[in-house]
Amino acid sequence: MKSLRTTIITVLLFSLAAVFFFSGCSRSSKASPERLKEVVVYTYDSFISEWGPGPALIEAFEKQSGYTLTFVSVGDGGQVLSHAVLEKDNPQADVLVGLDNQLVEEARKRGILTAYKPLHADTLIPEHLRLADDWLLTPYDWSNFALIYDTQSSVREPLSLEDLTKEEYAKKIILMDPRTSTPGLGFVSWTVSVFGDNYLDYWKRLKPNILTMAPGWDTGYGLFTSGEAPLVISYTTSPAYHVEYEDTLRYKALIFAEGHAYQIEGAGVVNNALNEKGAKAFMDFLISKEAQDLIPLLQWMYPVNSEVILPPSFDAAPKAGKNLSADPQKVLDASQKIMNMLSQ
Amino acid sequence: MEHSALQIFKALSFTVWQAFLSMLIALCIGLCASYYAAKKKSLFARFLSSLSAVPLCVPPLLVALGFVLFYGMNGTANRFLVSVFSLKESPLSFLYSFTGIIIAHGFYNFPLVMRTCADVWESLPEEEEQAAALLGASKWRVFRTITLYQLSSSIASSCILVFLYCFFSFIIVLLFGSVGGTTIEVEVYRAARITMDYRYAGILAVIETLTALLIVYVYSIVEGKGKKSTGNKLINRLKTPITTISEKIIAIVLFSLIFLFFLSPFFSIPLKALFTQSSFSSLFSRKGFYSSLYTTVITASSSAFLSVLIGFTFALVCRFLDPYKKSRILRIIPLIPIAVSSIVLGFILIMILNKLHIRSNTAVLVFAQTLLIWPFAYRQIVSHMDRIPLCIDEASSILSPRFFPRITKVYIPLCNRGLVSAFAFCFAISAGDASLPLVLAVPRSETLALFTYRLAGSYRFAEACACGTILMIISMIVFFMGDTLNGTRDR
Repeated sequence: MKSLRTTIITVLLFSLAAVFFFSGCSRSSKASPERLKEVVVYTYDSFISEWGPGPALIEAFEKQSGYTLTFVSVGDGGQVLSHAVLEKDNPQADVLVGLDNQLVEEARKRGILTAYKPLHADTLIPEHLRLADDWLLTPYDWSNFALIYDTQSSVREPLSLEDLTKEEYAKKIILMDPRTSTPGLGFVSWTVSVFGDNYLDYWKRLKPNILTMAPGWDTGYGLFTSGEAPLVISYTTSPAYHVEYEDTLRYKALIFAEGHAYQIEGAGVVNNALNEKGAKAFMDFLISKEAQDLIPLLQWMYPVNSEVILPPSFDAAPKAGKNLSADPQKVLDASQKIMNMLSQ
Repeated sequence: MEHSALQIFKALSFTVWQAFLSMLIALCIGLCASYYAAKKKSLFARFLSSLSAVPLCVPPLLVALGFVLFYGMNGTANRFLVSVFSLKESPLSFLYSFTGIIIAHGFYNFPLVMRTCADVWESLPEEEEQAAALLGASKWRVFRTITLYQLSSSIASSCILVFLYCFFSFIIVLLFGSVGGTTIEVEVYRAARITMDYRYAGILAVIETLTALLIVYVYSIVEGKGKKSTGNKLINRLKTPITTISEKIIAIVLFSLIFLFFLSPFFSIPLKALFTQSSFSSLFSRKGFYSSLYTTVITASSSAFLSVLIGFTFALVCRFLDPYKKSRILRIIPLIPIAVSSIVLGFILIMILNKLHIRSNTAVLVFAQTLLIWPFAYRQIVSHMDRIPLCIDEASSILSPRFFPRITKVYIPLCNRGLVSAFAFCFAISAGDASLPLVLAVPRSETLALFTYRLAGSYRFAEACACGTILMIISMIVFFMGDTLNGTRDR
């Protein structure tokens, strides 16, 4: 029995050792020559997918700069930030792409970024799209949040946020959960901007009309295109996708007179990045016309570079009359109060 | 931001309640289905068996969409009823409610119960049942007092897995639950990823894990009271055709329920892809699809192989050290990885990798997946190993004092069905996992599950359904090959 136990333990230890030995784990080396030729960018899923801007950006940037560009997807924008915070003492990324206007101050508070103003940023990026005066984050795309309406449905097109609370829209609206989704939080921000301190009353009136609060944009929009409800929160630029790829004007972005909340996505150089020089080169590239030309048809958002000409499908994306914003911390607090109220 | 104990308690109690009811549905349907799969010779049984893989490998996102496509307000069922009965409104609205959650969860997971119980039921000794029948016991009494007792270990084993799956469920609960509803997992996610309140996330994670471990402990008590290692593993029961009226009626009712709440929603996914123009051709034209397919087959096979190796080794260790299953600790150890949230595990892994200055790669992903899924392999293997009489161990140790020949000539042949089944299960789970690849952020690497999520996140839902269909087919092929190797053709 003793030799049996010894044998078993030996086999287990040997197996574990073999796993580690053959695991081929690479140790991230500080400032090795190979690493200095590589720019590592943390971003979100859809950015690096085959149909996102990632592959085209890699090709263009590598050709122009001579660096190797590696995109690493860590989830969504919020997860990009949280991943970077966890690695703060030993950052693996050089650039973070996908932090939006809601996350600027959180990124600043966590001390994970170094301010850097890319070349020609003053001339290329309009003032109203800038995320921070010190260029802690550089914007690269933006859009307004909007309700997308299915023109083939039998319900009337709503004209305002208040309209959405009418009885005719009972169980006709798909929203996203602000705890887990950026458009969900964007809608909360929108209601806080419009209704001020009375936002909770608004949500009480809206509650019976919400079919579901989907955990993410993908599930929510999937339900919408499956015909579950005629209204969903998304972006003013969403209809452009359907025009480009489905040749249909069925899905319409509704413009409300009171204005729309917006999302500006930004990128920043990581504090103590292993390849700061490469990171800055990438930031310069990201707002250049060559990179920004890719944004409309691959990101389905507006580019920040004013020199970019939008494709014809973007004629289906209406412009909001007024941009609204609310204090990010107030929005976070509001989202918690709203969800508490809705769960009662 | 303020956090109240009452909110945490509400989230936790809702989480436990919906997981418990979902488990009950999975148990009822799964146990009935396992009767036919284990004892009856029928095409229906073989078909059900091959579908065991489907819930494990299909990402929850597509499961949810499948239910919506069939039972949603504009789903197939409602459109059919509205047109046939000329109704003004869709009559079926149960999906977006608590009922929708437990039906989706219960039917999503019943194949796990069915497969685990059927595998064991097939090789239960008939002598005890026949002796009871000779003494005048009715079929129901024989089932209640003998068969259920013999199956209690595999029932408990599969039910705890279903419970934990539903306990940590995210997408289905948020999508179908009442507006504003929450689970403890959602709160952990929010604290860790959105507000980055790591202290609060840590507290919630501890509460969540302790609750799950408490359930695991209760399970170990139930399993301990069940049948100990006994029975004759060497014989498989003869399967008989469905003959009695009651068997036929139950089969019809069971098949109807499975058709309505499992097959229809699941087949809505490939049908959505098939009936949307060019979804498969667009998918097949993408370079990323082939590299994802390759990565999935390699990582899933590697994770499954390592999981089976570890699961089998641990099962042997438990058998030698504790043949009479007195040690609760040994029974609980394999459940600890499943009792930890994937979000929490992901964070722990990131911190460890960061501390060790290790950059993620495919090997790390395989290792992490193995860490999570080896308990599934163990559960499959141990339910077969438990059927080997202890006298076989004693006889083999007399005939051969050397250890390794006994493993290769006794344990592996007698557990081969469990080993193959375990490999298939682990393959399916690994193939369908999108969370770990995302959390570990392996550069230049994508699995089919992740590819599916990325398609769905970019307006390409029909292509996402097409990709999910491919995932299902791959896993079904692995299960079918496993069943064929096991020689489970009806005799």
